[in-house]
Amino acid sequence: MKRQATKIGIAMVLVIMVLLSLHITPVKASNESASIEAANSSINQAFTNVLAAEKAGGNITQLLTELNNAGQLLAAADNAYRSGNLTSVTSNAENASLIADQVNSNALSLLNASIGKSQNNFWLTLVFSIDGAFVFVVVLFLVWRRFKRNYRMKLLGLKPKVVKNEA
Amino acid sequence: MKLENARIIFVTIGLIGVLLFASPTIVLLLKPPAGQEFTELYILGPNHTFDYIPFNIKANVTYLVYLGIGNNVGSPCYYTCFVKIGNETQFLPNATLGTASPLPALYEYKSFVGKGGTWEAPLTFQVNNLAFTNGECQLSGMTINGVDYPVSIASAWNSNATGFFYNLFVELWIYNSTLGTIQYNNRYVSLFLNMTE
Repeated sequence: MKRQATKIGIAMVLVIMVLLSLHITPVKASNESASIEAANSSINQAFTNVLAAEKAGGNITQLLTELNNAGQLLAAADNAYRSGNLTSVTSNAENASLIADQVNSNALSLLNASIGKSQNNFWLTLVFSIDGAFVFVVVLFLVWRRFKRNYRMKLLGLKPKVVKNEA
Repeated sequence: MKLENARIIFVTIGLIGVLLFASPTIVLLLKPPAGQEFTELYILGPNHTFDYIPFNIKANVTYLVYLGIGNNVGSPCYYTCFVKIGNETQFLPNATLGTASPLPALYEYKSFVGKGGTWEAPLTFQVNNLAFTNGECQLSGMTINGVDYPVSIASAWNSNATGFFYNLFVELWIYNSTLGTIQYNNRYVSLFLNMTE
């Protein structure tokens, strides 16, 4: 009786272990899948902000280099996942996420700085255009007045000349 | 010179001057029309030329080509290149409909290329298991850039071109920041491969 109970117990443990192993594999795969998804999302967000920073006039060369590093890690994770070799998937995806988050933060700082800089640049250019055009018109008007006065003086200074009417 | 003529000259100089001073602001406000926007996708041989592009393929031999991208879109781009393989009759991307191939991707590249920039990366591939039986070639194992992939693709003997042909092709996808997803760019390059014993 006792022996039978032991056998049943061992059989149950084995069945539970088999069931657990069946469960663990998909959970592990879904963990890898989730880390790839998270890295993908981080990189997409970082790139969107880098693009915005570039549109605002920021220099994004360094940020693109870092994004390329993150992209390579994510691609390596994706490739390993597709090949069925799950060992380095999570670490690569997490490293990609870390780099992308850092790039995202730097891109936001650059975006804010670039927006302020481009606004300043715009106002400076506008002031230069308005002031420059105004000064130019005023100077030209003064030159014109002087020219007109000289012209009239010259006309007044002319001596009348008697011309014989041939007709 | 008549005074009226001088007035016309002064007014003209005034207008030109105002335009010159306003031009920096006009440049900031008006964007010039963009030219044709496109991305180049290319494959070069091992010498970075069109020479020695692999064609006759043997099992367990590594072949090298270079994959390249040129960004002429006018802004930085986030590219994904999917490497796929199929036989002669399997679906390639449809250039008319602009749809990607439904075949599963084996390998992928991700790259961020600045405005006007280029990107190039090696693409090494090796077929691991080739079996030739009853006028059919069975490919069941491939290594791309050092990563092993289990594949199972059969190709029938092509009596016209005399060979067992496969297409190794690379599709170009671009990230659309408005939609928040990657989209097929209707561009692909392919290597026509003849599997030999």
